[in-house]
Amino acid sequence: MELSEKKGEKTETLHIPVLRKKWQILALQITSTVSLLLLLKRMSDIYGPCSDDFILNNNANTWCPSYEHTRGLMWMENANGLLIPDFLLGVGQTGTMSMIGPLVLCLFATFAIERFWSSSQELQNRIKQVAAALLGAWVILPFLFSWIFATFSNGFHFPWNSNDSMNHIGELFHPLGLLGELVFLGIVFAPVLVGLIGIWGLSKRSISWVVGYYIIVIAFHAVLTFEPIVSEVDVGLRALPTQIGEGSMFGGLVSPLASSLLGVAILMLLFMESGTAAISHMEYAASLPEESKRDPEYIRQFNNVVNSHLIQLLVVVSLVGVTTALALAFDDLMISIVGILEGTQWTGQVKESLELQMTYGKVISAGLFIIAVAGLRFVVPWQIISGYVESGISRLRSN
Amino acid sequence: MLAGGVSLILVGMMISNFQMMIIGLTFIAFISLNGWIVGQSELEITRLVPHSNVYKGDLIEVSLTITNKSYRRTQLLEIFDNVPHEMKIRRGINQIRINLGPGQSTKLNYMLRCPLRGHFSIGPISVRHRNAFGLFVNESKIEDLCDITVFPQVRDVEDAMLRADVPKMYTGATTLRTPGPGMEFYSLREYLSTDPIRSINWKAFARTGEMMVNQKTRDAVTDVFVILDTREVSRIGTVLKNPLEMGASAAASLASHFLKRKDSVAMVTYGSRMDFLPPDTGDKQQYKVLSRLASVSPSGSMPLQAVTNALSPRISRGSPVFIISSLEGDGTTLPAIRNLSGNGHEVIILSPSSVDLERLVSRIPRMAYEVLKLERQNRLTAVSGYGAKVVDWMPDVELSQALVQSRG
Repeated sequence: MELSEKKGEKTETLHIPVLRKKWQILALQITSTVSLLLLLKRMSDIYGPCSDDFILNNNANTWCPSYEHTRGLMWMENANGLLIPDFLLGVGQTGTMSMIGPLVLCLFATFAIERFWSSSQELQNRIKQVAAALLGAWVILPFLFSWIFATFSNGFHFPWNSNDSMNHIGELFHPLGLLGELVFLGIVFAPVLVGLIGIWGLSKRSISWVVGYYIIVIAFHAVLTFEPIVSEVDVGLRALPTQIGEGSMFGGLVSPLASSLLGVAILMLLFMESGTAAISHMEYAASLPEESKRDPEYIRQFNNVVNSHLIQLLVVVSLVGVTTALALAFDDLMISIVGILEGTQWTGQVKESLELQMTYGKVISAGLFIIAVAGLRFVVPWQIISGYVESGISRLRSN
Repeated sequence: MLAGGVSLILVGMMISNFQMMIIGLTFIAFISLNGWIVGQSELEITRLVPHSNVYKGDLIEVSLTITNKSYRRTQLLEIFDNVPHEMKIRRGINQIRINLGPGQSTKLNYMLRCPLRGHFSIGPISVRHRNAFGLFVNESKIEDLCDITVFPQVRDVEDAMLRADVPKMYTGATTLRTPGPGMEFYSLREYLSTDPIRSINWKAFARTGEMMVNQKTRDAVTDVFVILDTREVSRIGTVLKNPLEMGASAAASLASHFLKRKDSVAMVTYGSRMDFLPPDTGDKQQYKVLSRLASVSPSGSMPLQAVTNALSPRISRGSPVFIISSLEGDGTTLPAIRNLSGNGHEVIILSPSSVDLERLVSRIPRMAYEVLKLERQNRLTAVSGYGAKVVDWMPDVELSQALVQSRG
């Protein structure tokens, strides 16, 4: 028993390959990955559909710049056909099913890119050379073959001609079709690919890029659906409602729209924080010298730090969700409080005030609520209370 | 994140977009809630360093015990023990990330190498609270300093001194036929009230009936003078290999050698000013010599003759004088040595080759090197012409080997 315990202790070190199998690190990485996938799902649910007017006025083959890939690919398929098989692109599928194929591609690409980065420089150069040669061959060879074969039947001619059978220049641009498909896929799945590379390939920059990308998508959507812009240029995006709606979920705390939008924000935070946390902890471990990586004290403290990080992540992100939801509903509370003070003209005006429930009032009241929450930390000694609880538990355990 | 959150709220308000506002509010709520998690640096940190005096090149084991005495978790803290940049970490690391529960403690061990002599301090201890999500950083310092003195290396020169062409007249304690403190019997005399009881010769008392005490022959010791050049010019070379470093090590080795033989050693350093450590014997004197050598640094341009003139009334007649200097940039070297030799002192000059030391850091053209080398040879030859024993000490030669190569 003792021997096996000692063996167990010995194998626990702070080397990166060991850490990659550590449950706390895996939990952080898996949390980040799941958040990323849920974020993709929620983003495409909110920002994927085109506006009803656009659908009515155009047929199914037209494309609007929404956060959805199949419409654009179908438009390409009707124009020139697709090079990548439909099941990998999700064409012909709807909803979540349309994402399965591209997600498999993303997973494969993540694995391939990670292997590529971890290979030797010499091998990387060779792979680059082979890829460039294959691409070059794909561009040039079909063009040359079709031209040469055509010279047997039509005699020598230049590859550009008004006669289709003697015009071969088009072959040179054939691979551009693949580029187009990748662009349409990339608009939706580039953040997933980059995010997976960031989480599993340990790149903080990639994780930040994904968050930045999603914020830009949201910002573009917001600008393109902004009323004065839509009246000038309507690209067919479906605008979000200007009213957040009455709270009907979680005991009337949040409306379905607010819950959905809050979900995007929380998932974004969860993805970013858990992804970067895993990298930060591994960076710290990698910076330690060999002796410290095996030092039981360092290992114990590393476990302490990572465990409390996991707990804090869980608690803080949950509280952020609750706090933001409460903050968004704070205007209702204020109106209710004012409503209690009935009798004056002012209270009546405030009670029926629309401004308080619209954007400005909602954000200002939410801001006030968050400031109050931030100030409460000077009042509530939660760390001392939790410290007493923790030391009490450890005393009980030792007894 | 704060700027991003505020920007999103403002842009969202401008274009009446709830999504941007909610993301902005969420970011700000995240920051606000993170403000609730405050790290605390009320820690009890004790540093254990087994030896505060070490020799150049030695290793020091530093151990920090960090205890959280409070009833709060420390949260994520980075403990960083500030180490002088002159010291190098050989094992472990001087920092750790901790999250200690109430009453918990941890230990940080690391090993330092001291490649440079001098007086150094380990500490203070920096305690940095970093929010788990990297949003807030708060740094404080615990002023716990541990002073370390790094003495120059002491080489064993026993064999070299025997084989070298340096005077052998100072053979440690020599007896003089006069009464005084010593080991050998000199005579018997009547007991005085000031005499210690243990000096009473009880046999003589029994024989004569009168209290008699033993008198001892006085042990006399030779005064050895070591003069070390610490002028600015002794900086030539690398940080680890320059005339001053070589000289400090040589002075420490020679002083240690003679003090072990119960000789009396005086130490003189000169650069921007002259420091004189009067001749004495014993371990205490060795500590003084090593401490003095630990703190010397290259500065000033005091001429050697000024030193010898100031010393001449204090140097005992016939005492050997070791001069450790590159002999560069000092026109008074010859007259100074002539005066010392003329006063009957045995003068031994240990001269680190500054020309060769300079070659370690800069490229000297071959012709220029030959000329500089020739000039140096002429200088050494001229010095030896005044009866001094001269050791031309090359950078890659050990002190003991260099001493054997002395010429006179």
